[in-house]
Amino acid sequence: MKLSRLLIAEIRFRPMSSLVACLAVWIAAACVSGALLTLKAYDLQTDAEVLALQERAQDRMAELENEARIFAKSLGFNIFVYNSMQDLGKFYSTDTSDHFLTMEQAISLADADFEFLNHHLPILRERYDWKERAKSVIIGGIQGEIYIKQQWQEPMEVELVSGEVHLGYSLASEFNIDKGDSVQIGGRTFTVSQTRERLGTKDDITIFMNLGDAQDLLNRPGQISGILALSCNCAAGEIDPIIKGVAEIIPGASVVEFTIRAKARAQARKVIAETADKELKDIRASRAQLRKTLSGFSAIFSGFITLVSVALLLFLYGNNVRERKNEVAILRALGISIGSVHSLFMAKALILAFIGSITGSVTGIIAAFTVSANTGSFQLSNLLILTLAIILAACFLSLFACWLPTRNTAARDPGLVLNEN
Amino acid sequence: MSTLEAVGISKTYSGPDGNPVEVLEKAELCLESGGIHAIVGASGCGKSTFLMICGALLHPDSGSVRIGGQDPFILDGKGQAMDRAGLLGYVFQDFHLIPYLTVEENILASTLTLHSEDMGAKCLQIAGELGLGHRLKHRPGQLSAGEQQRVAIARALLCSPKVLIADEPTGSLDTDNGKAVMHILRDYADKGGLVLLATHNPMVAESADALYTVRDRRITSQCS
Repeated sequence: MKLSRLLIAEIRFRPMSSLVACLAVWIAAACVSGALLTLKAYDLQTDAEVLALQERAQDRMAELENEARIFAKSLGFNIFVYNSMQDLGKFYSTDTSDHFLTMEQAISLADADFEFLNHHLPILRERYDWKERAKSVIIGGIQGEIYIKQQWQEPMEVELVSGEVHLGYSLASEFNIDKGDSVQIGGRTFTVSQTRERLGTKDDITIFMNLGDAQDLLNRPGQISGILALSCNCAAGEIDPIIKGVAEIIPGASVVEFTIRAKARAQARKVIAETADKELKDIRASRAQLRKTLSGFSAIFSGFITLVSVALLLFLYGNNVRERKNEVAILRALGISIGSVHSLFMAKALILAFIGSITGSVTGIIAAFTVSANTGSFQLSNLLILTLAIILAACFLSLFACWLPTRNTAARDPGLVLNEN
Repeated sequence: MSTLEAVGISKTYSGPDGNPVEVLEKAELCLESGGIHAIVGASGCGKSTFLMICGALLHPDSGSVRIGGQDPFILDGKGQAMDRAGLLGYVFQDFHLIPYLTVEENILASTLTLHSEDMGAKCLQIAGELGLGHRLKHRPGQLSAGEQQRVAIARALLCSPKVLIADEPTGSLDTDNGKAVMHILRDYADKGGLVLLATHNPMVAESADALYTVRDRRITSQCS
């Protein structure tokens, strides 16, 4: 006969006390695993919500960015970089520069590590006596953008090829010129590739042509009136860093900002970004606070249930040992060592703890999956580790609860116990 | 060399009021193999205590016990356990069967330590000899008092102990069952076993080969 037979027979003989012990472990394991997993699910839910909010904010920012680009395009450029020697008042009144920048300077600005400007467009603008039509017009020499560090980006202005011109609305109307017509300018024939819509500005009396053609026509080789640019939102409302930065790259250059609407738009983007950021921080803080409350409650609740379970196990095993003290004495009289008697009781506690903890853990997991959202991201390995940890803890606590009452009874002289009866 | 030798045994318990109660004082008993030896005396005089000490179930405060020449109390726990399993058998007034084991398992419980292979057959043989053949699958609760005591005796005899300690073996039995039990013990003694029992029962005392009386906390027998 083996001790295992004794163990199984005893569990079957006292099923209720074994069942209650198993239930005590089951409840504690279910509460602990359920609470831990619910908290984990809450964390995952928080992460998911914050991520979704971040994505929404990023989408909104991208929309605003695009809107701003379109808006800025409709407004035109908001920064003009020019030679600081140039009297701007005179430039505005005569539409002609006295002092120029060079194309090399424009390229050096685009190639420099200067984050405040986007979309560099060199222009040459000058009043011109259009002899063929006996008309004073403005020549606007433009080139497609000088790409920043030679990286292509969505251009804000069309690129005019050599030999083609765009005519301002007033000029096209006055001389009845349509798209596709040829015009003579300064003795050279140009094809009108576009007649522009009415803007109510000096653009209506401007002939837009390729920058190189304009430099030839006006005899300004390599010279430009300035660079139109779009200030990026990082410098919204702050022109000083731009002036300073440009002056460092192009000595003798200055900057003027001539629209505030784009600036307002950039400011709006900045506010939205800050608002989204604050909202994210608020949500994180709010959920962290709630998490702390839940965590505290779970810890108290699970701890209390575990304590009650351990107390119940102490009572049950203590009772079991008291009930079986004669049996222990007889077993020892039959030659079973103190260690074997210990192992008999411990093995029972271990079996009940194992059954209770494994079923309790599974129950807790099922409960957490039932009541919590976002449990799909639980990893199987984590669930197994949690279950294993709960089983180990339950076995340890059960062994402790069983060892306390068993140690004295098993060590007593059998004769003393039997004499007490 | 005596089979059982108890020399200078003293034992004091702590009484209910905390004061010491001296039960035995320099009690002595030396017994050879074979025969039934009965300890008699007034209730509470220390018979059972002496029996438990002789059976290595209770440490004496002083004195020594030798069973087959070996003092069990100087052995470690495992050695004591092996001594009890191999040299000693016990029968108690209240039988002390294990309630959740069957008759067969209760008898075989004495082999938990020895792990002998052929004990199954011997168990059946002893159970048959003691009239328990038809009760092997029953639990103690389903047996009469006489049957329960026979199961306890079968359990005690299964491993062929040198010494059988019996504390009031007929105390819970009627006359017929008492006689039956004494008959079994006599058979064991006649085969060379040493039975040391404590009793109040005159019939049991009369059937013993030797009587020892506990008087003034002492038992005296000649130890060479």
